[in-house]
Amino acid sequence: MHDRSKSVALANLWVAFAAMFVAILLGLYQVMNRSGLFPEIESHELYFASVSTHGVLMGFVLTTFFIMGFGYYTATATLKRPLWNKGLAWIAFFVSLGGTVMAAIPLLTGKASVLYTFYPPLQAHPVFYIGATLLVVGSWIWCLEMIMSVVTWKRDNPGKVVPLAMFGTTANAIMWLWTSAGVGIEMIFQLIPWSLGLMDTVDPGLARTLFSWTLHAIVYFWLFPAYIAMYTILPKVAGGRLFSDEMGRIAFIMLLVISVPIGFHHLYMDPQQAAGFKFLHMLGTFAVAVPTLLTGFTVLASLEGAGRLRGGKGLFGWIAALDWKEPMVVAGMLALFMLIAGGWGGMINASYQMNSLVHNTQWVTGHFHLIFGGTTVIMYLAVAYHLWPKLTGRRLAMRGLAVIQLWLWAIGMLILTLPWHVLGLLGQPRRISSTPYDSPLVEQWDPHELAMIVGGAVLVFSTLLFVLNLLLSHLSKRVDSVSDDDWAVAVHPPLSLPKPLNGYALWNGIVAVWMVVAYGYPVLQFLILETHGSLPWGY
Amino acid sequence: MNGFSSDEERQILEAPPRGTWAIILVIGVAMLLGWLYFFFGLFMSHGPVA
Repeated sequence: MHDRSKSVALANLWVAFAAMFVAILLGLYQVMNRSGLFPEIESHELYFASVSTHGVLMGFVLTTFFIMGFGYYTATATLKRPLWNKGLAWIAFFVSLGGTVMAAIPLLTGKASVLYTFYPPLQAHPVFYIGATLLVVGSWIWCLEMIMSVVTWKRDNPGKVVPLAMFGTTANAIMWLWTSAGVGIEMIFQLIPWSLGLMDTVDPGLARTLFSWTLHAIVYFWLFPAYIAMYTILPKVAGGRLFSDEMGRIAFIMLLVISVPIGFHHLYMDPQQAAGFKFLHMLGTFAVAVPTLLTGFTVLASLEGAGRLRGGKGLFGWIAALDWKEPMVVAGMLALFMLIAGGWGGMINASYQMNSLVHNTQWVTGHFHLIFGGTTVIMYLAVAYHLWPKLTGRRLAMRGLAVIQLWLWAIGMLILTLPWHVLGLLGQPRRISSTPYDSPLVEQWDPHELAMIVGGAVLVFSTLLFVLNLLLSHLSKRVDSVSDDDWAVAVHPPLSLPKPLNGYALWNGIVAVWMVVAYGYPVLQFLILETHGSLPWGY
Repeated sequence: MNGFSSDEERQILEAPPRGTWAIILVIGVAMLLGWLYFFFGLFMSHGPVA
């Protein structure tokens, strides 16, 4: 990696993990408050301020800064050239950081306790909305940086294959531009003017529709780097090769195309959208399982090759033969396991009718924590361990402890989230601060609530070990010299590819058409619909 | 070093991933059965809301 780009990557990653550290501490407080087992700490106001801060820090700050930092590393290390515009990368960093600090002030003072889902009529202080918008604007600058890096590289290397890691990173940047437009429109035309008192009314149905545009694909924005690491780092670190480069490209393209126009599965119970559109979005939701299946297959097949090269025999002997002392291998296997469990839970949520079985229950919280906190974040942690020596020039302080930390993370996440699935089936609603009822039903919840506290405590301990390891490594005097050129090579590396597998022009067109079909009428209808108590679009 | 010649290594890497197919198959069947149990066992058997 070009030395001058290391600082901006490292700065982004440190902000990401500092945010995560604070968020995890808040998470432990939340499960303790919510359990009702510690009445002395119960506070509704503090709980919702904490949940909002936890969600924003994990869902927006950790992810955005991690993705930006990892993207800068990927761009320079795979394209073997400096960033397209390093000054712009620093501008993106400071705009995002400024936005984060702005948003943090109302969050921490209880003036933005709206969770992290931008659903009116819950209203936050305008500074929160402006700060959150700036965070997104910073990420848009990052998108420009990634896209222009590839565009200029392709111009200088006509006909060459874009490295898979950069192909995926650019797909994510384009996908994020598409998907963040929904919440951007909501912020600019609804939430900011409404919170500033410039509009008298706001249409919650329109706001929810616009937010759904962002809400699902944002999960793939978070997940993309995890998949990129699985395809392009994990096979090499495991001692093998990538099973198929083309399969990775197809998965990234499918994620770009399919993941945006499917947000209505968050609105199954909402009256403002028609059943037909919800059904269309449901089909897309199930289709987006395909790239995940492709990823699971390709990554496992790559690991199988690595395990067999290490002497693994039989149908499953290669699993035991893998290098279980390597953090990336451990994280990759645990991430896939949690992806299967969380993905299956998602199939229940996504089923149009059956959604009512678990709608707005703690099941949903369990599902997205498994996918995000489990699969996604554990890969972020492993990527950090992988990148730290490259970015700091220092050896990882405690490699063995890194493996233990990753196991603890997965165990803690499972102890936390599996009981949440059970609680959901037992009827416990999500987004409540406490369960102050006295009935046989609530008594059934108690053991599961105790388990979630144990899970939360394990996660806090795991996070402490992680941050300590990074900190000690960064401050260490043990110099390490590691190559950046350690990306996985495919069994059959592509020497040339058809244009659609090496660029995005076709796929952008398809996304545009699909978005018009999936969101055109559902958004424009608010211009003609009678929305009781509010003006069309609030104006 | 894994002790394999480059030809052997290539053979191993190019072999069909039988273990992966088996895992995907088992997981696929388990997920389908789980979904069917939820749909017919929990959702449909629940009946209409009284």
